[in-house]
Amino acid sequence: METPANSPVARPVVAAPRPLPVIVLADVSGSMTQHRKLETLNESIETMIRAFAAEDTARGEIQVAVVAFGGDRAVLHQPLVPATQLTWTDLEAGGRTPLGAALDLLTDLLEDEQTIPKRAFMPTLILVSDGKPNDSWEGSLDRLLASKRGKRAIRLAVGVGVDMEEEDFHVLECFIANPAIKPTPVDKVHRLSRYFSWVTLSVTQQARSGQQTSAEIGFDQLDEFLG
Amino acid sequence: MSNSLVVRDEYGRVLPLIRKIGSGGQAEVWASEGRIAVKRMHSHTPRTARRLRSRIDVVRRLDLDGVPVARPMDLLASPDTGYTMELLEEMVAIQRLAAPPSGADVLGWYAETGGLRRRLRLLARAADALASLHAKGVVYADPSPANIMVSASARHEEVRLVDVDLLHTESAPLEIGGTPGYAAPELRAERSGVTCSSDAYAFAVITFEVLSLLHPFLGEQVEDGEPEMLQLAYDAKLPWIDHTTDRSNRTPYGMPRTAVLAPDLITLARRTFQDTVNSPRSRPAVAEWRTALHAAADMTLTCVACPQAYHVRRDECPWCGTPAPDPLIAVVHFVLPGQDEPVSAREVLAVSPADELPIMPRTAYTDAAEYDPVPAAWVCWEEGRLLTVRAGRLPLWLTPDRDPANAVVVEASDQLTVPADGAAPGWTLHFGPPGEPRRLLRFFRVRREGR
Repeated sequence: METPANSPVARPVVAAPRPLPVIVLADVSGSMTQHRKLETLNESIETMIRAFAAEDTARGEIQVAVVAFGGDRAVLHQPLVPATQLTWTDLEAGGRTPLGAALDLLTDLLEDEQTIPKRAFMPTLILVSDGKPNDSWEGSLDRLLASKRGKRAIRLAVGVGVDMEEEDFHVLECFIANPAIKPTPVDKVHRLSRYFSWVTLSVTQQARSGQQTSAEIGFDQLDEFLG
Repeated sequence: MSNSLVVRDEYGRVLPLIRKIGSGGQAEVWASEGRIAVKRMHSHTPRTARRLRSRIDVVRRLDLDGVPVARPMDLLASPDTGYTMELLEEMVAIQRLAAPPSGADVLGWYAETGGLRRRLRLLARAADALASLHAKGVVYADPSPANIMVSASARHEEVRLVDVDLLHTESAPLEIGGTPGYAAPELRAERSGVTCSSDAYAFAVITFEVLSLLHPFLGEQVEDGEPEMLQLAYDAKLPWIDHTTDRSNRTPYGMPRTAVLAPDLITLARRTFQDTVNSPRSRPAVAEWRTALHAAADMTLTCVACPQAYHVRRDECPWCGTPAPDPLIAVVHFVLPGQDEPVSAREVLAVSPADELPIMPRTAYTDAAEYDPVPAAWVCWEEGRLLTVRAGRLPLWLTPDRDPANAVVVEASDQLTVPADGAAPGWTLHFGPPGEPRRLLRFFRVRREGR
């Protein structure tokens, strides 16, 4: 035993919970303002963060970051912090769809051991977009998929709105880079909040169980959630 | 998924879903009206519904009388899949006792949530419940800190098992995977289905966590390592944290085991996590844990200087270093009429000064129900002054040791205070009238050596 039988104990400590990063890549191009798409996305992310914050689990500490891409650049709209400490600020839209810039920013974030220590769980990455990128994104995606964390992260993608074309879904498929997982089309905008309810359940399951197997990720339940 | 906040049971009764009280991978649990809870599965496919119905039918046929489980009552009607059960008000999952809130002062929180003694008593009662299922040939299948419910208030010590839709007689491999971290290595390796031994492994992990705030396989190298290390730990492919020879997975975290685990519990932990980790048939049974947990709870004293508790065998408080006073010990005997000298001691309890000690029915009566949560008596000893005895549902008798023929009665639900000016109280407490076969409690002051 660590402590001899008769020496008084100083102050026992417990290990900090293991971080479980959830990173949303949010398309904030001008078209997202139509059909309440951006409004619904903001509400969905905020609801998800509140559910994460209410989750008390010793195994994993859920942390959230949001990368916004619109105009001619991508910004870290919300740096990675524990959900319990996060006050959400709504995303605002405008301009084009610079996906490549968003992927670069994401890869840098994932590779930064100051932000995501090596003990962290594999991040869940969720790409939300309503159309095709208009910068050169292929090289940036290759870099993401070649990075240690980007390669092994749980990558999900959702296409919002009725204007999504086959080619746009192809981009989302390339991001997921896993034939077993399909991008989720969300034609009616209220289904976006259901999609995020499923993401919330999936992530809390991972945090509770402390493991990231397909059972915990729960793809088989996604259809139930989308209704 | 239907968004309506109403479901119907199989008899057409309408059940409003008032408040969500839990959600997991398979289901959500809602509070409804009239002390009813509704467990609604996420999946409503005909296959899920069929499987649930056959499981619930099996569970409803099991003889669970007297076992503290939240029993399934009625199935939900289509299109929902699920069942109703008793709503457990004022109860929380035992996992609340296994990990402090982030940033909390660990020792202060440990004491506020009932300290060592309450943890031991709650675990002992959970062991009672599991052991009695096992005695009926029923496997609980997935013991985890999320499905053992305990009183929310640190002043109460009720225990209930939930998620009984998993109750099983035994299962094929893979049918039930268990909860990561609690599933026995043979389940994870798919060598076996659930058994009483896999229940015992899960219960051992829960016990170790609730007492020491540590998972037995999450050493420092696992906590600080990449998440893949967790799989090795959960598969028990690493030595456990207190392995007697291989110290590679030791940890600086958590409560010191010598302070929170009585010697018998340390032995059971070593046998479970080291000696028999891969031999489920030799693994200590839940019944062994139950005996050791009850005994450890009975032998726990409250510190005279701080809010913590510790085993009576220790010479000083492990938490503040204050020397332990010479303890008062209560010994339980069984006596037959006309037999003045009790022969064998059945059980031993430590009595903390000025602290009310509940004596449970299983200690007081030979025919007590296993899970009766109402104490038979409460004893409070003010050193050198007074002894107060409060009766539970049945009367008690006190006899002065100097004049054993002169018994006084403490009526049911009543209390009596008698002078006790010596080093020990000088009274004997009887759980039946003198002249009948009965158990009794005799008090002794034990002198610590080396003082």
